[in-house]
Amino acid sequence: MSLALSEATLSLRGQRILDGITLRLAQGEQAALIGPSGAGKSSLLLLVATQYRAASGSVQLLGAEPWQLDSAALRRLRSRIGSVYQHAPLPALQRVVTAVGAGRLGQLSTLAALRRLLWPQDVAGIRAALEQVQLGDKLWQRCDRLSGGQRQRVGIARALYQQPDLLLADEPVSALDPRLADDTIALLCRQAATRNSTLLVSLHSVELALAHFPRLIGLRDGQVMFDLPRSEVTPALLAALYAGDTPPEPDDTPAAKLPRVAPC
Amino acid sequence: MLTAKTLSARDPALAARLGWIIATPLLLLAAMYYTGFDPRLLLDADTLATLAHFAGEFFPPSHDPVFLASLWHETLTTLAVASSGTLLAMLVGLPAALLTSRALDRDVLTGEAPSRLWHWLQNSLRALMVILRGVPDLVWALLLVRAAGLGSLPAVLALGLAYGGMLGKVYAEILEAQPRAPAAALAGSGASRLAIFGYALLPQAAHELISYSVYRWECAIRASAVMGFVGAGGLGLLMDTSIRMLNGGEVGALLLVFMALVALTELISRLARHAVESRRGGLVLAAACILLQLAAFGWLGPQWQDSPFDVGGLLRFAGELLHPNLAPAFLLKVGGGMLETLAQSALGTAFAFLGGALLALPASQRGPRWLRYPVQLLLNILRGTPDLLWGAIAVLALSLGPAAGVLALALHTSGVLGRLFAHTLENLPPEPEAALRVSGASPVARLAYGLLPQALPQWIAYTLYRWENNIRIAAILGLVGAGGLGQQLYLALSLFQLGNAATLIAAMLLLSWGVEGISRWLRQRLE
Repeated sequence: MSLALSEATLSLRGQRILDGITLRLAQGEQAALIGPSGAGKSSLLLLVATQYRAASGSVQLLGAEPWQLDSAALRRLRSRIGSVYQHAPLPALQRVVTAVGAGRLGQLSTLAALRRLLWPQDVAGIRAALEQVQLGDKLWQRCDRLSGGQRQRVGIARALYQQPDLLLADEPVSALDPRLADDTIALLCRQAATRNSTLLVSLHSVELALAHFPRLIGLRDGQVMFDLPRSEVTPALLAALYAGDTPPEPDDTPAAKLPRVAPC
Repeated sequence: MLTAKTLSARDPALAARLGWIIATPLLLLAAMYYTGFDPRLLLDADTLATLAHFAGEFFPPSHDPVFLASLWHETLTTLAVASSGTLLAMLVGLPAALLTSRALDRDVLTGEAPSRLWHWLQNSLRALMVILRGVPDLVWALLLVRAAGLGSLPAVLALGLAYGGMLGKVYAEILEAQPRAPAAALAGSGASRLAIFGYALLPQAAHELISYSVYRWECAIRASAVMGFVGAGGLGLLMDTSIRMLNGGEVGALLLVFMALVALTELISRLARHAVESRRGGLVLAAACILLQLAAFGWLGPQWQDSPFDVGGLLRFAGELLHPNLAPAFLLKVGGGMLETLAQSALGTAFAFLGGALLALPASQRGPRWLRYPVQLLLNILRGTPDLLWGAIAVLALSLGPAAGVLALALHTSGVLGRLFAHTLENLPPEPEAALRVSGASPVARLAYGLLPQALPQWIAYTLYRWENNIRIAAILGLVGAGGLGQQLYLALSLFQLGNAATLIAAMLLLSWGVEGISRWLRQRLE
């Protein structure tokens, strides 16, 4: 089993975010996570990414219980789990080559990591990852010179470059136009299938989920409302899942500004 | 766009990077050679013993009633000088900003034909402001003391001139940064410059103008605390005496007062900048300012009664300064002093960058609690002790000369930068580092790939700003025997060689402009 959650709950700042989640994905399986905003899709992905620790229940990833491991083993496990974020977590003034290369930091010694910072290594591999998202020409660009959609795709290239056994993606195409979004989801599915990686993607667009994923998991109020093969997801089920949903305001995090005032 | 450059497998920034990596240490090594500053001296047993002995005498701080009485008196004078000086600076700066700000120019706002004469006048005024703020406040004080006698009056005038030039520029820039539409609408309907300011720009910019003025007052407190080193009253006067007498207990007491003052003004400054946000807070702030100014004037006024200040003497003095000594032999000597000052400021700032960076991590919220508070205390001691005082202490430890100046700058600036750096770290978006953590990156790799790429540009920008400040301080550290141009200036003024003094002040101006230019160029490369 690549991913096995059993009755997992998550609380943040005293608030119950996820409640009794039970979910299993076999190695190589692909599933989409859908649901209204605030349902806990991002939190569930962060829980699986070992960003959060479950308050109760069990979380098994790639055959290991992450929070039972010592720190070296946890690092090794984490290096096998890749994440794509809605807002790519790229330092504004870092260059694309470094940001994508950082995907493999978990597989490198600290010394090798520092050497790469001064002298980029495996430029060919990084370029290949970027070319998959059609950004091969942005290799030497700085991240803050990219558009929101380009940043999102650089984030995807980083996760692909990591070559994880479990790939998680949180709204990975929210900043892309519909055609590019479709191509990008197809790319994620294809790459995961080639490497036999497990793929779990949260999507705001039900159409994309239905078009690309054999299995859909509906999340509402921190609970799994349904977990069904694509053919059994009915319009009535979807209507119940999204009842009363209001789409969130789009937000864009501004780049860090340099100080303007001299300190005295 | 597919160009040869973007498609190349070789890193296009590699050459520039290697250049920086090689050139920076070389330049710093040259500066170390030139100033005779050897970091190993800091670990030298003799140096450490001297310092430890001196610092040991700080305890117990002096509590002699006569000393405490004059300590209280000079503390009040320091506060009063800073407040009156800031008021004077605002009276200089605001009209200058109203006259020079491009945000009020009719030709900019309405597209009318510009007036040649008006722009010529504006540029002359701008040049005057540049000179006012380019000469360090302490040098203004040094000159005014010669012209107007000892006491707090020259200190107030010096702050008024130096900070007036600064406020004039910053006020003008704040006005220029505001949205233009309201001002353009008024200008189109024929409103005067003052009306445009009052009805269109002041409502938009008031907060920023006030909070910058409050911030300047905070700086003025630190500046007025050391004015006494040149005889211009306040705590510095006591400090100068106590150090000359090697009275450790008095220095200890003075240091405590300095730190308390710095902490208090920072607190008041923060409260004031918060108060501006609400109408009631604004009224309270205005009332407090008026009371403070009245109290300051009430305290300083009697001191000025028997001041030998006379305008005629001042003008004669200024007239003599207009004849700089341009003899080649002297110019060569001044050139050597400039180079020494430049090397001191660059080296001191570079070491402070390293020190600040090392201390910032444990001082920020990521540091373990048991380490965080001691490091924060260390930073507060480093920056709470004025640079000029560090200079005097460093001279004791390393003997007279430029190396002491480097040490003083490095110590004080480490404290300033360490705090700013820690603040930067706490305000960075945490996502990049968190993402690297869950992809298995080691702590050092997370720092290098997630945190520093975000922090470093801001750290460097702060360091460059600080360098602009330190070049001015390096130019006056000579007043306490720490080398550079200041030593020559002090000598020239003591011997009433005003021609030499004029040349030296011009050299300080040149240095200050040069460093500002380099700093601006480097900061633009960071963007």
